[in-house]
Amino acid sequence: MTRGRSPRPPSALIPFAVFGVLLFSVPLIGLLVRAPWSRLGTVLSGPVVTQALRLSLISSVAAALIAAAIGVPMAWILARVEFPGRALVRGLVMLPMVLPPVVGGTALLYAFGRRGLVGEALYQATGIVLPFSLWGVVLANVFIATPFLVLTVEGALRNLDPRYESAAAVMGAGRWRVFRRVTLPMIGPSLAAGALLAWARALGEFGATITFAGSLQGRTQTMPLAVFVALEQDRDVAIALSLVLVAVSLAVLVALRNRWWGPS
Amino acid sequence: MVGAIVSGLSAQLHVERPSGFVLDIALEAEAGTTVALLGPNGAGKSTSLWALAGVIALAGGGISLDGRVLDDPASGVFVPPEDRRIGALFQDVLLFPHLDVAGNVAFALRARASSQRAADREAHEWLDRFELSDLAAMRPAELSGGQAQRVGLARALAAGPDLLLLDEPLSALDVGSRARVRRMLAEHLSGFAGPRILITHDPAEAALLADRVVVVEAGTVTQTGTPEQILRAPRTAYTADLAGLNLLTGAAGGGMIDVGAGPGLQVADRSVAGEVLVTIHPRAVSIHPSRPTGSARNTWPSTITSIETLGNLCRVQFEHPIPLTAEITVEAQRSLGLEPGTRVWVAIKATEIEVLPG
Amino acid sequence: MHGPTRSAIAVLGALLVTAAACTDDPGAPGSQPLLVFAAGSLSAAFEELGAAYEAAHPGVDVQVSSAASSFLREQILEGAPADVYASADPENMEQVTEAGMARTDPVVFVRNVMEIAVPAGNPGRVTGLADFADPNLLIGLCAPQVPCGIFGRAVLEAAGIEASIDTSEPNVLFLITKIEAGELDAGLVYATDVASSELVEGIAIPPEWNVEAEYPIAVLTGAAHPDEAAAFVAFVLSDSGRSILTGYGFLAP
Repeated sequence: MTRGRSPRPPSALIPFAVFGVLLFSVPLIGLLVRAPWSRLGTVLSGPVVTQALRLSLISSVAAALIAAAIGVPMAWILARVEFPGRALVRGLVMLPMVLPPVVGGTALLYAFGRRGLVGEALYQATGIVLPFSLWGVVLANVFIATPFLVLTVEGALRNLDPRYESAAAVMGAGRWRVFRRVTLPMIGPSLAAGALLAWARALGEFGATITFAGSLQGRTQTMPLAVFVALEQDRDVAIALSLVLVAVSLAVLVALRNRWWGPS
Repeated sequence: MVGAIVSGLSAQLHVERPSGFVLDIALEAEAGTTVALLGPNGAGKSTSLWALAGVIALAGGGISLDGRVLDDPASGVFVPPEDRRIGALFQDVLLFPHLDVAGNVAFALRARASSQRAADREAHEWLDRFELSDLAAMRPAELSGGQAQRVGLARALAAGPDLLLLDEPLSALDVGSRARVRRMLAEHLSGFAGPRILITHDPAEAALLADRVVVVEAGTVTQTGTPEQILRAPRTAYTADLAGLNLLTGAAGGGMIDVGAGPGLQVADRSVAGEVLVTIHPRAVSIHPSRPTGSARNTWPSTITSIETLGNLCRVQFEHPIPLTAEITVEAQRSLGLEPGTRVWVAIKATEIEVLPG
Repeated sequence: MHGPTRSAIAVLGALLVTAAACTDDPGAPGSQPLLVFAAGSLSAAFEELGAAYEAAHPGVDVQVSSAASSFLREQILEGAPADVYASADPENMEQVTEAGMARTDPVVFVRNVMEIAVPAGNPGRVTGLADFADPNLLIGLCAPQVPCGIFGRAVLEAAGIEASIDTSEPNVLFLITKIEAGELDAGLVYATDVASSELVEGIAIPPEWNVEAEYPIAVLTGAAHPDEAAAFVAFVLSDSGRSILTGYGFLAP
């Protein structure tokens, strides 16, 4: 970053920015104020929290990795290959961002459920049932989170100076080597940012997960599901669980900020 | 088409870009010679480079290198870029920002080397040869312009290509590094046996580095010949403009250039030293009835020896103390009452003087 | 301004204009609707009750807001301006009355019992509660925090069955949807849920194990129209109101 005085923003931006910061910070302060600090220890040491936290971390990290594995190829093709219906395919891939997650989950159920279009064949061939399993949670998370990665990586690929890849080809690198050794490293920061976005979205995923994978403590009940059912009975527990979720996400986002968004 | 030249490059490039731009040029370069592709911006020089490299496919024509057909749309032959064995020093060098200097050179070697390890070892040998060993672990962002060009040339030559492409190797450099990079180019080009194509918009660069010049304008060849032939007998407005450049030689030092007569020329770049080639565009030479005040630091009195009118422009010649041509409008000539024999003041801004190490 | 930015703003602007054009006619100005908070299982029945009441009382606008009883309770305790609260269990109603938010004493207006729901055609060949212990079947209940989950677990306990549960859904709607889709082989839901779905079949639970849910209704202190609210409650309790409710599978109190 440049040294010396940081630039002054145009005055007109300041009130909007302040309002924005308040919009994000006040609800968090609300949670902190309402938190059952004296009961926090007992509430959080229960098996519900530890199991839900474990499932949340496993499923969100797995979802981010799978999102990268399928999102990067999609982004590459969407950014580089001209084919009829490309706009439609891009819209389709981005759809989960606007679709209510519950609708997404229902759609997943009719596709990959035991009676679903693909799920039925899968069940009859292998006996595997995706709903009500951790794989179901991961699939729901991948469905909801991948568009964020595709959007980020496609933008990075479009901004990448294509001459570097051409230069690599002239130097004797085949298409795969160009992709592996030039394209991928050069979009590395964006890929990491996209994966982080996908992870964060998956961590908070509720609607598609509950609709597709159900909720069972220790098997499919992630933190957001635990928070939701806790709200029905004991708001203190729900707030305590939410605080754990907030703490984990903030810790990760702050720890990685230097890496991926430049020093600040 | 298959070229007449068996040892060297023979190309008939016909390319149609989606923008509607059409390139159609013939290009031949014998082994051991440098052919400059000289032209203004947008003439199709870079398109030619990427077409030779195989990044842009030909719509017609063909390319053959040492008798090997690389691209021939008529017969469907197309050798992809990675199999063409071409070395290129790209415009802006295009060193991979995520690899260090050694990694960049090793990248070009990896395709031919038996293993990554062999490529790494060979890369260090090349860095030694180019006196770049100290920079091996540095990232491209940490290099100066001249250093980057040296790494780029090492990378282009490392894999032992059959054809060398040089895209504006000097234009992005300051005058001081131009001298070093030019020397380095001269030194390493002499050791390269294959044909070389130099792409440039700078006639001085072409004159210094090329054996033959192909002038490209708006996608077609407008003139070919040795640099001297082109400058002596320009055939288009563009080459005439190039030919009309004031070309002086001199010795530089301390921001001044001694051109052997008259006052020394002040230049913007103080780092330049030694033998230099100076180019001054005729439009950059202004004529004043009395001693001018203002920012032009190079000014001296002189006598007009001749005036040549071309349309609404006049080329005004001076012999002493420094031989120069100025280009002014006919209106300016009339309002100043300029005739051969008129005593006037000549002025040139320091920033308008282009200096190339000789 | 750049072209893409400008066209994005134009598209958003067009959407905004369309949205404005889609706004419902707000109706007679000044007439506030009668807001009825009804438990999720009452949703369809109360929509019909509201329509019937509106037909009998021209000028009155009944709006039914349905959600889990516990969510409605939270909203009432936080000061939501509802006129009437109909809960799916006495416990949530109790919290409302204890907080002094009920204007009238709660009255039980219907009862509901639990029933086994299976997908149409009963692909898992479920015959009774004993099948809930079969680990090869996919079994769902409501979460233990919501009434249908509490009742479902009570039924299983009464029958002495150690159920092999695959999911605890946060509400009965999520549960019935998964049974309808055939993803679950069986679940415990309200008899009314079975009655209102064409995609599931019901298997009765013997009365000695079954649990009865009592649905209380009351007028709230926050009511904007207390008299109208009391009249609506009276209509729910009337014969014509009751016949609508039993049509949805509810039992008379």
